[in-house]
Amino acid sequence: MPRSHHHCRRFRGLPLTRRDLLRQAGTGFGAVAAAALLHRDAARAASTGTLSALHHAARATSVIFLYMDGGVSQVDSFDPKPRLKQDAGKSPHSLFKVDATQFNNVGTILPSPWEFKPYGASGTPVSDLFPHMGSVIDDLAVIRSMTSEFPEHTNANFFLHTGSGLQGRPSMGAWTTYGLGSDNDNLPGYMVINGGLIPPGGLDNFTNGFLPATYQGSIIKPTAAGLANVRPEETSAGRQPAVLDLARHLDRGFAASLITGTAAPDALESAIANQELAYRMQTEVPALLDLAGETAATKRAYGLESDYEPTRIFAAECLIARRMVERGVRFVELTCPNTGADRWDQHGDLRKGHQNNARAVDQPIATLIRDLKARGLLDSTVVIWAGEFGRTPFAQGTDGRDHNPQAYSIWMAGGGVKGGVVVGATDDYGYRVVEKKFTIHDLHATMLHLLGIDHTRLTYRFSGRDMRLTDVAGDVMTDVLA
Amino acid sequence: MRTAILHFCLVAWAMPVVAAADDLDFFESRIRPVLREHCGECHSRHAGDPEGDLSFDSRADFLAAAGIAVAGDPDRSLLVQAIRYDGDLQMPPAGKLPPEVIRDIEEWVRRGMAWPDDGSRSAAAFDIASRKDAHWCWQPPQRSPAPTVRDSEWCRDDIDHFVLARLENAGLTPAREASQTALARRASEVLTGLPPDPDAVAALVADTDPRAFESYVDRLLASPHFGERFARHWLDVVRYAETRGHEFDFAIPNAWRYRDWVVEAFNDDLPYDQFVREQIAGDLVDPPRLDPQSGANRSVVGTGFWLLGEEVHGPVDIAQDEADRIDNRVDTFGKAFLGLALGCARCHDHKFDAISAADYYAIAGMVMSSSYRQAPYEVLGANRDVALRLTAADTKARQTLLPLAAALAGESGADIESQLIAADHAPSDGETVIADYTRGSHSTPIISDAGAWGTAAVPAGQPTLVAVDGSLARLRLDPLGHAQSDAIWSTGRSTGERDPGALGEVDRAGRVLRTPKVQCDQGVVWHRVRGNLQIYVVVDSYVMLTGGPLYGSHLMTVDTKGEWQWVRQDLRKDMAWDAPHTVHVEYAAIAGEAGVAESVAAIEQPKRTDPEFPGRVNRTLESESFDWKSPAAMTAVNEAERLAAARAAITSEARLASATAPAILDGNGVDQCILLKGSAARRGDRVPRRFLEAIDGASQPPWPEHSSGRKELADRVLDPANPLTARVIVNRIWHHLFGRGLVPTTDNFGVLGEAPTDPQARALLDTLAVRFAAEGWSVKRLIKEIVTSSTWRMSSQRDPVAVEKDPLNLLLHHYPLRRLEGEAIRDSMLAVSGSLDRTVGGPSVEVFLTDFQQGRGRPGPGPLDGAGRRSIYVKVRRNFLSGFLLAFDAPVPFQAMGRRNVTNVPAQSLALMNDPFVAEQAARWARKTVADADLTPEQRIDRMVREAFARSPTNDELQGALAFLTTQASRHGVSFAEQPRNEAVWADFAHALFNAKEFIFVP
Repeated sequence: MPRSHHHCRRFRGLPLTRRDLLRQAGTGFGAVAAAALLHRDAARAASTGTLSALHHAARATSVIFLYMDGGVSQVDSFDPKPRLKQDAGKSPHSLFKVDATQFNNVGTILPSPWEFKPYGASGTPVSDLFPHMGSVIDDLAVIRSMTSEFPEHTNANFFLHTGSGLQGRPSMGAWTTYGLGSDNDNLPGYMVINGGLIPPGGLDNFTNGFLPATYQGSIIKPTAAGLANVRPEETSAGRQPAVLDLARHLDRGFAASLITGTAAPDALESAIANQELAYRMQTEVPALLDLAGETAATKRAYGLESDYEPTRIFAAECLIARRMVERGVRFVELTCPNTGADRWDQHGDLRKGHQNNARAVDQPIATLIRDLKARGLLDSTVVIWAGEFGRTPFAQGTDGRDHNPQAYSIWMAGGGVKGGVVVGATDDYGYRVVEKKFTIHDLHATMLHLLGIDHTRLTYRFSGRDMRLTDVAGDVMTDVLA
Repeated sequence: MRTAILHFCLVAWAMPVVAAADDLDFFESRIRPVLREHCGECHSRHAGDPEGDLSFDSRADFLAAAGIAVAGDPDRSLLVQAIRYDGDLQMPPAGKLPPEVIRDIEEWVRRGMAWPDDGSRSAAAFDIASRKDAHWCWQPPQRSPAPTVRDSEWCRDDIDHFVLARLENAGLTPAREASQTALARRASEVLTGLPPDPDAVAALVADTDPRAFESYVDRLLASPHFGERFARHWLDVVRYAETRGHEFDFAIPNAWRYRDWVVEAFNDDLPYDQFVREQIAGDLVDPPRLDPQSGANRSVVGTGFWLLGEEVHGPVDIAQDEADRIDNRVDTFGKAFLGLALGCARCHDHKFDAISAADYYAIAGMVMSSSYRQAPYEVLGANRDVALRLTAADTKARQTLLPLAAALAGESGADIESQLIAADHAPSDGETVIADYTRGSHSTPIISDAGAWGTAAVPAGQPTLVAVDGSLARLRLDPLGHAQSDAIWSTGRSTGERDPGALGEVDRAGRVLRTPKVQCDQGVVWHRVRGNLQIYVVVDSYVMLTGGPLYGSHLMTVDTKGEWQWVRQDLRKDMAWDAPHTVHVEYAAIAGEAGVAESVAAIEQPKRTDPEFPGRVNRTLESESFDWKSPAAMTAVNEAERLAAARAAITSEARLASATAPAILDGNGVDQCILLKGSAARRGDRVPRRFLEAIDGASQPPWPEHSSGRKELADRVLDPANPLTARVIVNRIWHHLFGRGLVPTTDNFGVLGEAPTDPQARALLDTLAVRFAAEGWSVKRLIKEIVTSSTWRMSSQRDPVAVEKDPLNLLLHHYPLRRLEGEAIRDSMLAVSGSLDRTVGGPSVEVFLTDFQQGRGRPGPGPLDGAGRRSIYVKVRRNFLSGFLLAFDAPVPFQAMGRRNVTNVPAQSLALMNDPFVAEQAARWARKTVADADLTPEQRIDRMVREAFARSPTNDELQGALAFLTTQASRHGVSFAEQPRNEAVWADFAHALFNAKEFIFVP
């Protein structure tokens, strides 16, 4: 949407910063107050995090979380299990102890419909679901021994996002920006690109919870429209600066009425500063989402010209994620597009459902890794690919798989992550972890570690406790560190 | 090390106290470092709570985990099995230890597990008494005399003395009194959440009576909008929502009845002790508080408090799910009424406060004993009365007709009743009797959600009239004792929402018979019933029978066509039932009369010997040869018909239609086990229900067996000896009036909360609390006292000296600038634009949703302006909360949140700049303003500024506004001089006023 830069500058030209506000206020703001405000300005209280210094040298400065909603099957993606072929059709009860499942419709051992091939110099096997990811395998650390504590979506989603199975706790993106702040004064530090599927549990997966609302995920669509309320009505856009100018005029009088020789209240100043950020976001967010400046080759590589719409959606998400990281957004989360199946949650018709989901995400993700690397951004970005749990090696019904929190595969890549490795192992069926069992807390601890944060020291006092993203648990997964 | 520890606790322990020196060397060099490195992260008190209560910190700690290893026998030692990865328990979980380390540990165990005495157990023992002595909140509040001050002229009441004394001590002076216009706006927004009417402000300013402001406050407190405002504060505390969240966001049907109950309570100035009592135990308040017009039971609606939490559908581990649900209730209870984080004592004794895990489970038992229902609160009293009279009528009929029927059948009239008691059947092996209504006055007590199932079981042999061939009436004796629901009750209907899914397919309200809760080992339940019934086995108090993937077997319907039948219900279809679960049964009549004789958990059908007497009599009376025309038979039938007519007259008084509200149905008392680490799979000792030891001591009178004990709980919460209840509410009110409590952490008065700022603050809080309780718990009176004090009337203008000495204004040297809550901002916009619908109470209006709000359970979106209703009436859907309100820090309802965040985020500014709701209200405000043709632009500006800010514009503002209107008109392509009433131009002006910080900040 075209905007008048004249108006834009005019509004910015008035009280761009508190320093300007002071200079222009003229009446009522004394010299002492000016000094105090200038000092706070230097501290940039609004956009910095809570940590005064990193706990150790950071390996990365931002995070892209590729959230695979519904639970990708590990034995069909990154954890090949030939034994499933051998025992196909047998009752799993005859082979191992089977946990209760949500749908309690336990079928027989179901071999993977996909073949596995070794990829890259590392020779890491990847199934035919993900040939593109296979092509960047030497940049990925595959973790085959992740676990969850919850066998159903909502609690598992909360757990993956917030380190707690309960609703309303702060998301890892909120914790990250709470710790580190944002590197971009014109955009929020935690942004969620909504591909179309909001996971079970809803927006609370992205909540600031008990942390201040500054840290909540701002949800944005990978389309030109983008963000709620970020654009003025077409008809009012040109008049908005004058409206805000008048509001600011009133604010000056209001601030003056509260001052007797000292500064205006902090809350009032912050509110004024936030209105300025909001005003700038009206320009910044549309610019962020405008992909016109990307080359045709880039767009094609991501899959923006795919004939499959979910691929185009996820391609836009990945490309926008790169643009966000370029602009200093601290934490970016991508949710999956709708492929017609119920997310990755294939309780039936595994072959079709997983194939369609893979088709949507595989190429965009591989291109994102390559593109970040080519631009030198992969070194400073942690990329995490994970669902909330895995799936059972035995069928649900005849052709689906039920939830399996006992073992599943995720991968990490980017700054500080060792590429081309496989960490952890599951039993012969991919059902339980037998080596290097990791928890979601460990994943969170590792992510924070790469960002220069000791997860035990990033705390917030709430409800009488020093709360942590990792609750009272979590170990850094040293095996994935470069 | 979970289950294994319990399993092994009986293994004999032997460990030498004196060990050979080389064994100790071996331990120090080869074992202790390994334990520290590989096990210490979890099994150490330094890391918090050691896993499995096993700590390797010291010999004493290790010894305390008896059973972990058997000295001299590695193969029988759990420790060795675990590190070998032999069984289910595999340690350390991150990966098997190197073989040489495993060999070392085996060797160490074989040699007797030498470990030098390295001190006592590392953690200090939990001691309630010393913790209680060490923290202020457990000490009873004391009333202090008002401190003397130098400037007593300034003080209007005792509050002012306390506040001024500490200011004077600090060498500070209070800010001057705010202007009447500022006070008018402040009082209106703080007390009602709405801007004042400009005329009311003008009247206050013109009023020369020295008590003019007091009268103004009286009018605000009398306004129904006061109740709406303070109800919203309370709803934050009780995590109020109208849906259950989780995946599909199912409804909590009729939750808004609770919300209206809270609004009315504040408007009626319901004494706070009664307000608390009815929320904890309104179903047990005797007599209940009745609506003076309709006779509806208002007390019971308060118990909706317990039921507003999140609920999960289809949880795989239903017992753990129950533990989580109960936890939310216990935690909310503790924070709301006592300001205590009871939830912290779920997994262990509280780390800092004088609250034990036993305290937690003592209260959890009361919650567990209380079940959910939709209560037909409008007819509870009336129908209970009908039920009592019906029971009396049935008793009378029995006394009259039983001897007559016996005589007709040729039975001796002697000792009939003793022949009618069922043989005392001791349950056979594997049977658990859930309820037995066959035993007359010795039957299981009737628990029913209205009077439908009478007040006592009907004994066997109850005479009834049966019609034969449509005309001829004959007598018959009922063969079984039972609980009985008269046919009239299954014609009742609820007028509100019903439970979602299968549960709500039957209109259950007012029809439910509830058995006691028992522990059920079997997973199969047999019901001996008669009639057309919905049978609901409530397993671990799970209610989400919404058609999800699990637990359909909990619910069945049956029609026995008027005969007694044993009906089997197999719950093992949905769960393995490999551990006991707590169950009770709820029976609801679907149509006609219904009876329940017995419910039994058993795999095989229970065998019973019924009394022979009724059958014998019935066979005689039903025989072809029996002469019903005989004078004796005619007399008996006439008598029976007379009694039946009298009975019908009673049933005709039954009230059949009622609104319903979520409420508690009280059950028998169930004591809870301590769940180790909060896990339902790890049961510890059973704790009798009781109140907190720190307040009521270790030995308390036993809690009742036939009730949850919530009535007693309410008594203890409100007892004068309880140091917390009055303080907590007085502090909440102070928090709402000043934006910060005397105790800043409104929901936590414990060690980890913040203590009162200084001794004067505590003395003030205590004095107000003591007086509040002693003078009748009146919230309105307390508010008026505070609001009319000189303290509250201070200006927001800040003295530079005071700001330097006390930058956070802890001593209250001025009135803090307040950012309005989202609800007050939205409601204020509706008010100034003339769109506000001032109707008090009623069903919620659906929340407006943007395209950004998607997901399962998404409702059809509501109107952009919420139909002009106040924000408290916008539906609170857990998974679809109002984006506008959330941006301004409306809480996510998951636990008590007595103190909201007050944030500044761009989303707030974006909403004020671009939200279509704001633009719409600006347009409506403009339309209203230009409608009056006789005003000048200056008068319009003046009116709008007074509506928005309760003050007249300054000359500078007036000139700025006029200049804006002129240039803005040109941007619209019109001339302001020619079109001074152009709505679009005025809408821009209105939009600017909404964006001015003064609109959302109140000085």
